[in-house]
Amino acid sequence: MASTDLETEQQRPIWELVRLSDYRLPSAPTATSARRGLSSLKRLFGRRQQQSQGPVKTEDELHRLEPERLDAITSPIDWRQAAQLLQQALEQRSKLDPAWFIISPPAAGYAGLLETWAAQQAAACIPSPTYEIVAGDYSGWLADLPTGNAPWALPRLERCWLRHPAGLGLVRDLFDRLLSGKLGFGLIGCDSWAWAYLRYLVPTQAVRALTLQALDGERLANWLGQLAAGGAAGSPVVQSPRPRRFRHAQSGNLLLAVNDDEETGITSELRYLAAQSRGNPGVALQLWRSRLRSEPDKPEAVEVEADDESDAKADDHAHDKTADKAGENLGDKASDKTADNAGDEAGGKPEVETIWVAPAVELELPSGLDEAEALILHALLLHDGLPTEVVEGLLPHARFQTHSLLLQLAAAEVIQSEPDGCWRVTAFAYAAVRSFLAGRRFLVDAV
Amino acid sequence: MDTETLNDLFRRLDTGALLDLTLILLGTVALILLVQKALPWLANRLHGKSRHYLLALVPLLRLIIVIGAFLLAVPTLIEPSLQNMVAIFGSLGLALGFALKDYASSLVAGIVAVGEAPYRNGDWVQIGDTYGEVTHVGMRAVNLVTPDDNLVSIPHAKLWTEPISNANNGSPQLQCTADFYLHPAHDGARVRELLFDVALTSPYLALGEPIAVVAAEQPWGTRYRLRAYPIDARQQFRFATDLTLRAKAELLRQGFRMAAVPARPEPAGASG
Repeated sequence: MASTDLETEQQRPIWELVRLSDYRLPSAPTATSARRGLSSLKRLFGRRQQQSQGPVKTEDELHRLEPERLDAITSPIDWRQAAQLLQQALEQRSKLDPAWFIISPPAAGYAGLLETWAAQQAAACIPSPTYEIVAGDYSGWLADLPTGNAPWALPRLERCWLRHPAGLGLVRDLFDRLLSGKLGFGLIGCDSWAWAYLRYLVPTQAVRALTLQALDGERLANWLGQLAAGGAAGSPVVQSPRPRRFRHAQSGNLLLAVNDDEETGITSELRYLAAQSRGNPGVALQLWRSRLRSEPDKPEAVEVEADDESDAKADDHAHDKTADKAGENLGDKASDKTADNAGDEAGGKPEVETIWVAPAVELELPSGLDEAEALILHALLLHDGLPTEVVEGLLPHARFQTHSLLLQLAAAEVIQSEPDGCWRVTAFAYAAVRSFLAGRRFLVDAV
Repeated sequence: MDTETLNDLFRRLDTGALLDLTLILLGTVALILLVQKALPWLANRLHGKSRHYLLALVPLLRLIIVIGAFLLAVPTLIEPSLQNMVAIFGSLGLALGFALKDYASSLVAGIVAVGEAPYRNGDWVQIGDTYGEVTHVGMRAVNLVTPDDNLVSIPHAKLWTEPISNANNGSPQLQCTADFYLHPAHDGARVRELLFDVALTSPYLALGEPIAVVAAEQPWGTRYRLRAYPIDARQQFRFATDLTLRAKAELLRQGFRMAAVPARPEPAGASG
């Protein structure tokens, strides 16, 4: 009966469009919550490491996956299914709605969803204005917005404002035009932090704000399984028929099986990953990618099909152990479970590729982070990243001071400079940064 | 009261009684020191209401400890009869009333200060000409740290005579004000919008708290007062500075003129 329930749950669609108020954070396993409580108590009483603890480190016994293999197992998010779902929802929309807003948590990449939708529907996709336009003369950018009946998309509303007296006009005028019905129907993407701020600026209550439901353990398992199989079902990407098994590097327990008869259930490890990433697919994917490992000198470890049945058991205690023990048992487990390809092929059994998953590590922020760092992190989150010169202009500190703090935060892997020239909070640090800011009573997002 | 009667009031202080008194004294001092060190240490690692609640607990706990110690010590020293108590405390009250009047007044006011809480640790208060953050509410005096980082000790007895102005009254919210003086010929509605946006975009602003712009016409120009709340009361001066500098820059950028009153020459012979 339990397995039937499990199967029903596993068949739930991965993407579900919900109102922002219906967003439900995935719950962490009880042991994890207790550990987090203990960890925050330790922090409160000053029992923290003096040196900042980085994200997952390379264990001696394990190798990180090669980029090509990593991309094959965890390809970038394919938004086509979600875009179709969005279109189905849009077909039911009220004709009175001037716009729908799709709210995206940081790093979730829902702007890609809107771009995909626009491409599928051949709708106009409005590029974001530059910071000079936002803080200067934006009338030309507004005048270029579509005015007909055809729907259009603006994937990044967070790029249309700055927390500066000169940076509020564009978004206010945009809302005026939207609500007056001058712009037809717009599908607008917005970062969740920017959206939290914009409610003090524009009538956000007057429009429909939606988001994709958080990925809980079940959805996350299905989604990661799809990615490892080579893409979403029905997508034109050729799916890999090769069975893959993801095993916990410390316990050897099976976390996820792809194209394989072996059933795993939803492990507490994946529930923990869902909770750790707050159900955010972008964060979950980056955390997952950072934990995938292969064995030394056995990048293509292959398992014999006939595994012991105990693998399918839940690994409730697996992630409670510390990261420094990662791979401790790996050698034994690997030697027990792997064989050479020749043996498999001779037996006519399909080759099973084993990928090892390093234990989860929670990034702790460096000790001594204070108000100045909090202001920088908050500004970066509110704008979904900013280039150096803009963030320096928005904050009250001297430019050299802000620049120096940016570099310090980057050295601690709390933020990183991305290819578009913007500083952003890293996916690894996001949960800790959000908690740090919430503890200091800064405005935080709703998701 | 002759010597024999006085002797009857007190118990004989044998070794055991002295040991009891010493233990009570040491225990009291240790507990008070613990409360005074541990709670502020813990509170300063927190933010918002929890910090203020913890800080406000310190004087209350100390008062409870002192009363407890007093109740334990008195029966060791005095035969606990009504007659003896009246005689001893009557004499003590008389002595304190004449010799240590101000000190006793401050001690009593200290108890009232714990009960009525006109100021608590973490509050920003103005007593007389002194404005600062309450860092310690003692038995006799309250300590303030001023914005210039001076420690000022003010006896609780000021409660009886001075108004106590408390800016945040036990909560982290504290209103800050920035003043601007503009030349009278300008578009006031535009200035009001601009000042509102300056507050709204300050990184220190507690979003959700009210922002107000108050204007008043003066003979030399128009005075605007921008009122808003920082996230934490300890940010008040940085917040007010941020409001002042950014509003001034934005007003000038948009072509508003600041009011300027020419310096008046001193009348002849005034220096003599």
